[in-house]
Amino acid sequence: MNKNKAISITVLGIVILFIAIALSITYGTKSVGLSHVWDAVLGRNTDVYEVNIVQTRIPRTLFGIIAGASLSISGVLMQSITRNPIADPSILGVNAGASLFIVAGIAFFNIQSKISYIGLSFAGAMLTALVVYKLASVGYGGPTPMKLAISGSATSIALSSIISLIVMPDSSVMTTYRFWQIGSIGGTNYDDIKLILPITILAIIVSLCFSGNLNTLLLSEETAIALGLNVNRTRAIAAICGVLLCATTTALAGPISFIGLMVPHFIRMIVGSNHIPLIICSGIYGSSVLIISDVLGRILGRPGELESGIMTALIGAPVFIFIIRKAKVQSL
Amino acid sequence: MEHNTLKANNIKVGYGNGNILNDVSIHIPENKISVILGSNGSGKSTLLKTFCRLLIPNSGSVTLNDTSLLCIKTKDIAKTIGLLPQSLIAPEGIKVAELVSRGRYPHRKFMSPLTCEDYEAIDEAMAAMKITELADRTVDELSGGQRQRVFIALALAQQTDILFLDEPTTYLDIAYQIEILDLLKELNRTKKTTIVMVLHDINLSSKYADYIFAMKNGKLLAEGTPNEIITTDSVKQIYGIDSVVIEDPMSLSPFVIPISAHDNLQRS
Amino acid sequence: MIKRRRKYIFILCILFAITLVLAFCNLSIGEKNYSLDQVIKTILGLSDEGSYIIAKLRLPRTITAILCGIAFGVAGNIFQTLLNNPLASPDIIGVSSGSTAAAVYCILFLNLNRNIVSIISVFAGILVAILIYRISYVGSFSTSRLVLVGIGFQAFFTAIVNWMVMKAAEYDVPTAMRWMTGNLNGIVTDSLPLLFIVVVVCLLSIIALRHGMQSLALGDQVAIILGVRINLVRTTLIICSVLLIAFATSISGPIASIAFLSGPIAAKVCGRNQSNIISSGLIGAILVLGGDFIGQNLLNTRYPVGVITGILGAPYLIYLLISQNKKGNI
Repeated sequence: MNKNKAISITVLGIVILFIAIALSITYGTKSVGLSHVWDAVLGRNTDVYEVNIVQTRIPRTLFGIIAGASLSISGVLMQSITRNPIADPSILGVNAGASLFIVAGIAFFNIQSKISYIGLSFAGAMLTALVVYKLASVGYGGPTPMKLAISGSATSIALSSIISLIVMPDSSVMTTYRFWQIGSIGGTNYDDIKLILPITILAIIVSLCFSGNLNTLLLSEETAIALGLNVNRTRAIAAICGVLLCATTTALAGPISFIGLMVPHFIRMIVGSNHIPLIICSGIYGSSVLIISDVLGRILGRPGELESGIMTALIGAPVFIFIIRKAKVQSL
Repeated sequence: MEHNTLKANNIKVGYGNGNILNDVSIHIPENKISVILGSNGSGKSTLLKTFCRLLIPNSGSVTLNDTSLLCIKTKDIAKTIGLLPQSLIAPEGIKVAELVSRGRYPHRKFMSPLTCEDYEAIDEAMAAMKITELADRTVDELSGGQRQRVFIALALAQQTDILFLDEPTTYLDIAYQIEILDLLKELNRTKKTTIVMVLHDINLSSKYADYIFAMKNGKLLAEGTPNEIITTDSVKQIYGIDSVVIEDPMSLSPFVIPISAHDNLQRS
Repeated sequence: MIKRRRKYIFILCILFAITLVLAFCNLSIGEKNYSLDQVIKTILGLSDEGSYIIAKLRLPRTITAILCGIAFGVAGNIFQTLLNNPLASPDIIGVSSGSTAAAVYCILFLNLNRNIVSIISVFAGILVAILIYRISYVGSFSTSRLVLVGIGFQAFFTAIVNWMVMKAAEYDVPTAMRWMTGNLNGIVTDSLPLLFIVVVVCLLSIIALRHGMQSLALGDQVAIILGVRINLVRTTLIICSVLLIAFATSISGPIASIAFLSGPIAAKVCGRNQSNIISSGLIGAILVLGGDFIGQNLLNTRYPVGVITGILGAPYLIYLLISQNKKGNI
């Protein structure tokens, strides 16, 4: 029965995703009809302006699908590793860590290529995630949601100051950084997609392969060890996949928060905590949520646009508060 | 010696709609050690909290010297009723003497530093709990038994005539349990402090209590001296188990030996 | 215990002396240096030499640094004590984010003058603090819920502030940066009297309630048993701290890490056996004065004070990690 439910949720998710994709390509500062889009793709449309619009919107949408799925699955993995419902790349301070490394790369080593962006972002994100997790584990009760959130937040503040220190003397770096740190899937192109697609697919496949182990990890650590699970290896691999997924997105699109928090939360409520359907559904719905946020940002921000990073925070923060309000006091 | 009479009159207490305590009336015996017994969820801790105004009854009242607790200034109650709660927080890095001195709060005047009287009370409380030599250690580095004594000392420094303790011996090994209960008994004998505690161990209760209240399903099942209360019948009623009650050869109080299903098998 | 009290007072005197020394450094050293003698004469109105730079620029700046430092330090310490967590300071749990967002909006989009901006941002700060409290109150009060809801608000307002700053015209960005990190540039004298009054009144009320606050740190149950009127004490303390934070933020912006660091540093220096209200205030003032001095004079670019103090947060977090690991307190 549960299986049927998971399948129907998946199918529903795919339908929603297609609607979101259609919206994303047609809606915007200038709306283009679906048939015109089709014509433009097939090269039959003669209106150069419309063709241009469609040509910028398609990579943006594709990138949105990948980024949304990455962030959302990354959230699932982090929540399972920390056994904590509010673990999310933004809460864990991973975004700030990635930013710091990229900014340092731009300012001191003059890095240009996107692949080095991704490398630095991964290193920064991994390091920060470890530090924040360790900080939260300090003291009584282990890494509770409250301690995790506070250490993430405190670390982010400290790291942003260091970023300002690096950025301020150099106005060109400052400008690049200011626009990057907002988080938007708007400025992405096919090269970006080619770059992150293999990494994303690899990380998702690995995490799917490990989903049995992750299910066991959700029991207490002692039980998992007693059941013969190599806890540390499972954690390490899942953590690498999780950080890789969010770091690649962050490197190219800037920090996009809360997708990894809200999507898995609701999916888990519906499909339960079995990781295979959880990862698949979170991926599909994560893509839809990010694309729809992006479309909403274009509609609300007229004549310009509200960046998707801002939109997800504006939607995600209230959802986060809602989750907190609903949770039992003891579990915080 | 002044007498402070503490009574619960037909109290109904609960969280939200349901009542956990249903129509309980109790008169705490003055200058004695009373123990509240009962199975899990019988309302023992709720009763204790209601006596200490941590919970307010939905109906009925708790009275101190025939005045409702609700009508007495909270600082004045604090000079008469003390409590050692189940879960305790010690601020990180605080010294033992400093923590005990926090018990002087109800006696302190607005904005003034500790007085000689305060220091005397603190020293006395630490001496009674035999922790004087720990005064300058931080609470974090103490063992479980030592910590428990520090918190009891905090309650003693409050210098109340009535002292409630919610499971003071939980998580302690048998040596610490005896040590703490002995210290409390000594306190009761020397200073005539009325002591009321919730204990899980029926045999320790019988050994140390002057008076026992037995609770079941939010009601007072029985009250009386250990000899009256602790019998095969009442143990069956309170905990739902069969037992043999013999006399403790040292204290001459009743001693309960529970009967397990396997005992029965072997006998038959 | 009496000995400890004397030691505490002795440490307070030293902290006060350091504050004074730093204040004089900030007054006399800068693009143009003045001697101590000149500074004192100018302040007392005996000499006109350098009176503009010292009296009109550096003096208000230094006084603001001290007052804001005290405000952030004391309020941070109160939050950390009440919430029983060394990381739970108001800048982290979103209490100042409302003030910041309101101020940025008024400056960048409405072009209001400074005093009005201050007033609006104070109200916004109080409003957001009340909202955080109300929303986190589900049936009962829980500190962890309060902290988490606060962090949610922080994320929400940070997103708004980031967006507004990005949309802002280039020439307004320096002003806007103040509201992201905290800055003492361009302080005007007329906002000081109000800040001074608020700091003094709140500080006195907090000191009056310090015994109650110490009892609250033992948990609500123990506090009630000790005869503390917990709701009254807690509400008053929180209102005072929010007022301090909101007023200070409205003048200097959210100077990063001061609220967060002052309490723990004060506890380290003086021990944890007293309420550490005055000591954390003085530490706050020292941090702001020191940070401003470094940001203005010692580095090759002029940095706003918030950037310098914000960086201090990083080593503190690392220190926290290492010291706790040593204790084996996983």
